Amino acid sequence: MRGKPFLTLFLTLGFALAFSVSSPSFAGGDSMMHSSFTKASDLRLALNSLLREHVFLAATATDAALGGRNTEFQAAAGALDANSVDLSKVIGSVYGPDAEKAFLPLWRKHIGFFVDYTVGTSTKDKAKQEKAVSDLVQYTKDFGAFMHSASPALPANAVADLVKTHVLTLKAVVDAQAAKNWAQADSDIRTAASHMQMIADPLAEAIINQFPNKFAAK
Amino acid sequence: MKMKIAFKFFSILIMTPLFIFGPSFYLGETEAAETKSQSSEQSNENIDIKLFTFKPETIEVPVGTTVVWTNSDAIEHSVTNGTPEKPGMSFDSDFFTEGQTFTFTFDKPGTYPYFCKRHNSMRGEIKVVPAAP
Repeated sequence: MRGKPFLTLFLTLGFALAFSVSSPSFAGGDSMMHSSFTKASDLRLALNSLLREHVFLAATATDAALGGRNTEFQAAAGALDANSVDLSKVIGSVYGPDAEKAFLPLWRKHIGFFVDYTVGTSTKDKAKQEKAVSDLVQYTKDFGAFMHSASPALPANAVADLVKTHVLTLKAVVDAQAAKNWAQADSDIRTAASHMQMIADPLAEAIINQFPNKFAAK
Repeated sequence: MKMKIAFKFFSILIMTPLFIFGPSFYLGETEAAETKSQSSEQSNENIDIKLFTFKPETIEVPVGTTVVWTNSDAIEHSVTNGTPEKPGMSFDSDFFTEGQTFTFTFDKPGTYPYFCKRHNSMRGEIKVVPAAP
């Protein structure tokens, strides 16, 4: 019985020593390695989180708009814009302040087109809906061109196609919400959110390859 | 004898700067070429359109300057005088795509804002000042 506390202390110290030797970055033994590793993973994580959050906040905003709950819509729209600003800051941290300044209005533009589509759906204005879809399709080309200019390894058409899928999956959410088919709407929200990884991962990959000194783990 | 000394003296006088400053000291070719290059730079300004931005965004040029915009984005842009809210009449490139250029010569002093018709957040400004006397 008396030997038990000593055994516990021995095992604790043993594990602590083993952990500090095998994982220097976690124990603070190699801060360079830790820092360069997390820069790349932080970027991937930030893009994935922000783009998924964009879908959830957009869906909250469109649901509130279609339900005529103005206070809730204003709150969701505010949070959605804060998400856009955060996303532009990630872009700025990689490509510089000019890119950040150019990205934000471009990104906000497609949110405006979604507002138009939601209003058109809510008021059963077919022409407004069609115009919004046409603007959104046009927008996907703009976004593809922007990302291609920023990272030439990203083909403009491929990026445009990925964003087009984002537009279509979110449009499906709005349509289901307008039809009050909540099971479908929630299922569509999950689809739209999980698709954002298809944009975030290649984007992060291209950035990491473009700026190896900034992101590559050593 | 005196003639020989005088010849040597003048030879040294003439040859020394040639060794020190090179042939341009006599011919003035380098200086002339630089002046020509500078004067042609003064009458032309280049603006790059990249990442949905006019770079530089604002420039000041003397009257008579020709400004050349080059589209480096893989999408159509325009260089249109004025603002989206109040378009001007001085110039409008209409849409031009990657690798293409638009050129305009500014003949009158003034401030010329401009924007892209497709991407209204893209703005720039040319300040045209009277030419130096």
